Amino acid sequence: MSNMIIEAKLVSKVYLDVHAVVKALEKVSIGVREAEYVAIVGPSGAGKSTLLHILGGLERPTEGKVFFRKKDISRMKASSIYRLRNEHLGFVFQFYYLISELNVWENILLPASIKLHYLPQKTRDYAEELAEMLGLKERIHAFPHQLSGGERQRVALARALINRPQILFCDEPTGNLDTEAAAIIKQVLRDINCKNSTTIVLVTHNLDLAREAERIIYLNNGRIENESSA
Amino acid sequence: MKLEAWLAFRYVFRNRSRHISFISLVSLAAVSLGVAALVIVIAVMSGFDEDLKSKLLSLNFPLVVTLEKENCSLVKDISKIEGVKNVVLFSQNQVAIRRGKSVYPVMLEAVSFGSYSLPRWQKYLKEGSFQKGLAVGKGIAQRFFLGEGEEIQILSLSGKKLKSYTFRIGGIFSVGMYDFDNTLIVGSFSCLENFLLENHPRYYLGVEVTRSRLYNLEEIKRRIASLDLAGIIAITTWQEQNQALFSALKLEKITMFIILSLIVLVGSFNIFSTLTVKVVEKTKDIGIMKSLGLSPLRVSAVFTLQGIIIAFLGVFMGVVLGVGVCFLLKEYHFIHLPSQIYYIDYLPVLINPRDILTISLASIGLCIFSSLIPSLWTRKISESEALRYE
Ligand SMILES: Nc1ncnc2c1ncn2[C@@H]1O[C@H](COP(=O)(O)OP(=O)(O)OP(=O)(O)O)[C@@H](O)[C@H]1O
Ligand SMILES: [Mg+2]
Repeated sequence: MSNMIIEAKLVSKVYLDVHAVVKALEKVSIGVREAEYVAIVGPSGAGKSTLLHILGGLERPTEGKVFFRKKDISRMKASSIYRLRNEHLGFVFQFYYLISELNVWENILLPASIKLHYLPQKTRDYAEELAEMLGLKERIHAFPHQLSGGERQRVALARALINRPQILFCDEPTGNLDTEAAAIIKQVLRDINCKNSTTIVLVTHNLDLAREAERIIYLNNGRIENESSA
Repeated sequence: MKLEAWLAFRYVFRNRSRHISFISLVSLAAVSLGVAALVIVIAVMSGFDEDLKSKLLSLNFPLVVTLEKENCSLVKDISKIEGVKNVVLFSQNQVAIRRGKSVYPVMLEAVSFGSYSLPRWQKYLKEGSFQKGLAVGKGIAQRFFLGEGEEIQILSLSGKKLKSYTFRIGGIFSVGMYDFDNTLIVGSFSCLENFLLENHPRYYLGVEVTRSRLYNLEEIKRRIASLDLAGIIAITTWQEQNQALFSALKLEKITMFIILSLIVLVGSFNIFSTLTVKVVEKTKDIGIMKSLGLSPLRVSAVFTLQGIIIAFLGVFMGVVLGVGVCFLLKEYHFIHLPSQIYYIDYLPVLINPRDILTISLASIGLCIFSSLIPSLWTRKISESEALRYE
């Protein structure tokens, strides 16, 4: 258990709705090792996104603790969490969420601009490298509305990677893509995991993509039902 | 701040078609129209104010000394006071014009056409000259179909019995102020010599002062009073003579400023609603920016800055538009006023930099205030919820 990069301990999340109390997660414990590729699968409403958000510090658990490199992020003060997300965590979502007023290049560099006042040449070089790797080189000046879904997701991926995160969180990255575009994303994720040793935590309905992972976690009704390693 | 300003610029100026977004444009227009209206109205009111003052000063003396009787030695003494440019003796009689069966009251003023008084009136003389006889106001001339060289009969009311005098009209003057043009007849002392001997006019001294003393007459007033207390009935300054007018003008200007500030308030409310719509519209963007590590304070700065950009641009455009319209008004006098009702037949304009500065600062302040509230709402948007569903 020593080389855990992120760890959830007995995490519960309760949503207080007007009509009901929703237990999205119930005492979930999970640890992800450095450079590991983990997939979380399960039926809709199982709590997959909730777990991902809690691991990524986007949301605080109702109960339990989350450790990033042994630091409890569930009690961390807000400003430190923003720093942590900016510098060490990357996110990719089903609906890309690119900023439509910025072009591809600017979208990719956004997390770097949040981190630094002036972008050093090596960051620009890395952005170019990412664009090259994701096949976006020709589309650098395009705006999001001029891109296909697959291209948009690749821009989102480049944006998530620009600050060289230690963990990449993906919530159904291929949910809106056709098989071909999904295959490219699958390939890229595998490359990042292998070459850069970036830890990947992935939520997906796509079994083909889930099989890429070293470990698959089945979530149902807010509990871990099963775990299987490749 | 660099990133926030850059993002704000993009949000204001770029949308799908790469032009300024329509919604930003609307609030920009609202702010600039309000500011332009304010600039124009205040400039016109200052113009009226200024025009009125200069007219009053060119016809009335800054200081008028009402005398007990004709007194020429006092003229010399007052001339020696520091700040006094000139002293002029004139007299006034309440008389009436008789034309057929109708009688019309007028003021008959006798002036000395020495070094000073003549040029003062010469400016307004439209036809004829003072050497040839009396000068009558344009309004009187029109009313009685009088022209240069014709005769008029004047009835004196101040003598023991009503007496009629006949004078020749030497010229017609037009000041552009209703009171002057419709109630005044001016003649030289020499022309009116007989009349003045038989009637007993009220004599006055008109005191002309240097420009710097115009608004600081108390000192001169005191020194005149100390010269000949017995011979002086009253000393009035031009402000005192027109006090009601000036305070009405000032009140009106303040009222207009407040009323028109409401237009700017509406404009700034437009910024408020624009930003509110933008915050709602950009919920996903706010979520993603926060997830990428942009702190809530910086996210709200992105939105406040959008308001500030619109405010500065709107105020700038409003000032340009307002000053532009003022300039056109000044150059071309394209709005005509009926001169029977107003003392002037076009809109006078005076652009006062201090007014413009006040308007700009007040408007920018209002706009910034109204962009603060919507920006604070971005803090309520949780990244987790914003990013959960499409
Ligand atoms: N803000 C909220 N308020 C109330 N209930 C919520 C809220 N967010 C999520 N839930 C509930 O929590 C449960 C888990 O939601 P979650 O989004 O994690 O599911 P999921 O496994 O990601 O599902 P899907 O595969 O459809 O994305 C669901 O029942 C959902 O209705
Ligand atoms: Mg989900």
